[in-house]
Amino acid sequence: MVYMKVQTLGKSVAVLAALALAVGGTVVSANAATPAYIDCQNFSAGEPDHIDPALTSTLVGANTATMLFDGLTDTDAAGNLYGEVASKWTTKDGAKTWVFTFKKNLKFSNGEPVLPSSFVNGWKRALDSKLASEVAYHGDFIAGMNAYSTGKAAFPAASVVADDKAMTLTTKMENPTADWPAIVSHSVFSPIPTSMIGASGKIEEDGTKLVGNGPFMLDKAITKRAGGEVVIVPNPNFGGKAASLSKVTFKIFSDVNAAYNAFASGQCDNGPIPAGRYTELLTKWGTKGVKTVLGTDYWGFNWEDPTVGGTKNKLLRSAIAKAIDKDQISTVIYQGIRKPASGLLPPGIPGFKAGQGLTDGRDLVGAKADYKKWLALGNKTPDAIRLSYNDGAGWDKVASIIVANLKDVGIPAKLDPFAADGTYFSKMRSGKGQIIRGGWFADYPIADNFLYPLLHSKTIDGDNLERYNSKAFDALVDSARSSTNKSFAQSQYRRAEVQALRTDVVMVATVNRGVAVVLAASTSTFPITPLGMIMFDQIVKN
Amino acid sequence: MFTYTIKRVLQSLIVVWAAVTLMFALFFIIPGDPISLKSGEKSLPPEILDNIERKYGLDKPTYVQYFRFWGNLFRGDLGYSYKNDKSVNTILSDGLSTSARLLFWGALFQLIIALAVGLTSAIKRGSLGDRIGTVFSVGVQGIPVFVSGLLAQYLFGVLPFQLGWDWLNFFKPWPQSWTLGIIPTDSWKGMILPALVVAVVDAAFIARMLRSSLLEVLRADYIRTAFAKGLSARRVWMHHALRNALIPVVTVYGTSLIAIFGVAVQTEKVFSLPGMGSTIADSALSQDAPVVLGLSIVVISFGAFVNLVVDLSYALIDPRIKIESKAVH
Repeated sequence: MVYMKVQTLGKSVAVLAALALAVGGTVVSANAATPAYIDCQNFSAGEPDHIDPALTSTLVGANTATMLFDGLTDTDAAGNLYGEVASKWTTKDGAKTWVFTFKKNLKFSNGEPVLPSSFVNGWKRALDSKLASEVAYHGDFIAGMNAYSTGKAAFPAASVVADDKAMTLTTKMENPTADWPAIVSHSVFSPIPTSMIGASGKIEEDGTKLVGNGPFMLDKAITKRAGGEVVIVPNPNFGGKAASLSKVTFKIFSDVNAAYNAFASGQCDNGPIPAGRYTELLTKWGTKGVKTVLGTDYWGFNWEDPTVGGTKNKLLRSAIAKAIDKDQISTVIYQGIRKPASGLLPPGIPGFKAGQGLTDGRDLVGAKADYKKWLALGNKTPDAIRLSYNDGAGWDKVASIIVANLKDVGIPAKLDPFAADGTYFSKMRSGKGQIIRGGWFADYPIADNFLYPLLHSKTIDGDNLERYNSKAFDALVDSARSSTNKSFAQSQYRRAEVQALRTDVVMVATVNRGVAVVLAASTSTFPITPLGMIMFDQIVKN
Repeated sequence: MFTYTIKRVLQSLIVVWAAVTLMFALFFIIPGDPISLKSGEKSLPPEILDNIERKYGLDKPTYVQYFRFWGNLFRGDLGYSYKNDKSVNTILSDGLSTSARLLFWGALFQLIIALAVGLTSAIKRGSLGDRIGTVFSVGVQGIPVFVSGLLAQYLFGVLPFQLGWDWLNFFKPWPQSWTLGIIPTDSWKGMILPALVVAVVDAAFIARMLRSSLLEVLRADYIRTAFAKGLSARRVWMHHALRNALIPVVTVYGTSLIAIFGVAVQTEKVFSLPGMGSTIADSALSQDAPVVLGLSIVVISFGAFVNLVVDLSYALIDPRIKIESKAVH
C-alpha cells in the first residue's frame, strides 16, 4: 500500500515536473522571440522627402530605402565594398565596360525573382526625365544616360544590357570609370519588380506598391507616415541573412529636442542628441552610437576674389589656413564628435592619407610669418575679410572662432551671414563670397566624389564654390579617373589633394563629420557605415 | 437673421479668396524658389532643375499657375507637395484629424480651466484661491509654447521615467485609435500633455476676462435684487451673473479659438504631432506652396466660420441683441 502510494506520488511528481518544464520552456521560447525596435533618431528632424530609392536625396531617406532595396553593391560598417545582388564584377577594356554577375534565387518581397532586367527597369524609372528625380544625375556615368535623364533621347538600351539567362548585367560607361562598382551602390540604382515599372513618384502613398528586395519591407501603407511613423518588417523572401529584429518603427519628429525627450522618457530604443549636449548625453548613455563618417566641413577661398584669390595671394591664404584652430572648433562647437580634419578626404576613403592639408593643427608662428611675407610683397592690410555662411544653422559660432583666430595674426575679418532663405549656395556659386563656408558628404566612398565635384574646373558654377581653376589639379584628377590601376589612381588623387590644399591653398578643411546617436542599454550592436547609414538588419537588441 | 447670415457667408468667401490670392502672390515675391532650394550643399545640374520645374508646372507664367490652382481647387484637387510628391488632399486628411482633435481637446481644457479659475477668482475674491488664480494667469501667459511644451515633456515624461513613476508619465505617443472621432481609446495619456499646453496659453487670459466681467456684473442692481428675493447664491451666480458676464468672454473665447491655431502649430511642432499646423510650418520653410496654400485655405475658412458663429451666438446668449439688416428706427 505504501509502495503504491510512493509510486503514485512519484508519477505525480514526474507529471508535475514535465508540466513545469513545458511551461518554463514556453516562457524561455517567448523570451527568445525577436524583439521590435523603435527608432527616434533617423527622422528626428522631420519627415523624409522620400523613401523611394529613385527619389530620395537625403541621408535619412536613403537609409530607409537601403533597408527596403538591395543594389548591386554596398558598403559595410568597416567601409568595405561588397556584392549585395552581384556576386562579382569585372572589366576588360580599361573600365569602359563593366559586367556584373548576379547571385541566384534572390527575390523581391512579393516573391518575384531579382533579375538583371529588374535593374534595367529600375534605372529606366529612376533616370527618366518625367520622374524628375533630384538624384538622376548619378546616372550620367553611363554612356548616353544624360540625354535620357534630360528628356533629349530614349533610354540607352545598348549601354545597359541585361541577360536574365546568364544572370549578367553589362554597363557601358561614358568615360572610363574605375570606381563604377562603388558608384553603383547608390540607392538610385536599385532594382524594381515588374509591378513598379513606370510607377510615378506618388507610389509612396500606398506602401504596398513600394516593393523591394532588401532585408525589410514596408509593414503598412505609407500614408501612415503622416501618422508619425514608418514601419518596416523583415522581408520573408530575403535571400541574405535575416534581420534579428521583428519590426523597426521609425518615429517622425519635427523637433530634435522632442525626439530626445521621447527617447529619455522610454518611448524609443535610440534618440538624437540635441545641439550642445553631446558631452552630457554621451557621458550618460555611452558612445556606442558615435562614428566619424565620410563628410568634411571646410572654408574655401574665392579664387576670383582680388583680396584672397589667385596665385598672388597664396601667402595670405596660407596665413589664414595656419591660423585657424581646428581643435578649438572641434572641442567647443562639436564637443569632439566632429574631429579635426587633416585634409579634404576623410578617414575611411580608400587611399586616404592623413596630413594632406597645409597643417594638421594651428601654426600661429607660421601664420604670422606668412602674413608678414605677404605684406612685404607690397600688399596692404586688407579690409575686414568676409567669412560667408548661411545664417540660422549655427555657422556663426564657427565663423566667430575663426575671426578671433585671425585677429591673433593681425588679419581683420568679419562675419558675413547670408539669409536663411535657401539661396546661400546659389549666391556662393555666382562668386558672392570671399571665404566661403562649405561642406561635403560622400555619395559613394571614393576620393573622386570629393575632389572632382568640389575642385575640378568643370564644376565651376556647380559644387566648386571657390571657382578654383587649376590645370595641374585637373590633370591629376583626370588621370586618376581614367585609370583602372587602383594604386596609381589613389596616388594621383592624393597628389591632387596636396595640389589644392598645400600648393594652392584653395581651402581649409576644418573638421570631419560624425554621427552621434544615444542608445538604450538594451541595444548591444548598432553598426553604422562610413556613409552614415545605420544597418538596421544587423542591430542586436537584448 | 437669414439675410444677415447669407451676407456674412458671402463676405467670408471674399475674405478667403483675398487671403489666398495674397499668399499666392507672396510665394512669387519672396526670395528664392522651391526648386532652387532643392539645390543645397550639393548643386543640381540645370537640366535636373528644369525637369523638376516642368513636373510641377512652374515653367508656366504666373497667371497660368494662378488660374490652374483655382481650377484644380474647384475640382477638389489641392495639388501635390514639391517636397515629397504627396497629395495635399492626403496631407490634409491625415493632418486634419490630428489637428481637429488637438484643437477640440485644447479648446475644451481651455474652457474648463478658464471657467474654473475665473469663477473661483471672482467668487472668492481676495482669497488664496483668487491670488493663486492671478499668479497662474500672469505667470503662464508669459511662457512661450516651445518652452512650456519641452518643460512639460521633461516634468511629465523624462523625470517620471527616470524615477520609475510611470503613473506620472504622460509623455506618450499620440493616440492612434479613437471612438466617436474624438475620444482616444489607446494611449489616452498621449493626448493630455499637448492639449494642456494648447489650453493654458489663453486660458489664463480668458479667466482674467471672466473674473473682471463677473465682478462688474455683480455690481448691477438686478443682482442685488436677485439676492434680496432670496435666490441661492449658486442660482444667482450661474443663472443671472454668469450669463450676463459671458458676452465679452464669448468674444474673446472666439478670438482665442482662431489664435489657438498658432498655438497648435507650435504645439504640434514641439510634440511632433502629425497635424496640419506643423505641416504648414515645415512647408512654409521649404516654400512648398501647394501644401501651404491648400492647408491655409482650410485654416482661413475655419477662422471665417468661427467669426460668423461668434457673431450669430450673441443673439442666442442675449435675446435683447437682435441682428438687424435695416437701420433701427
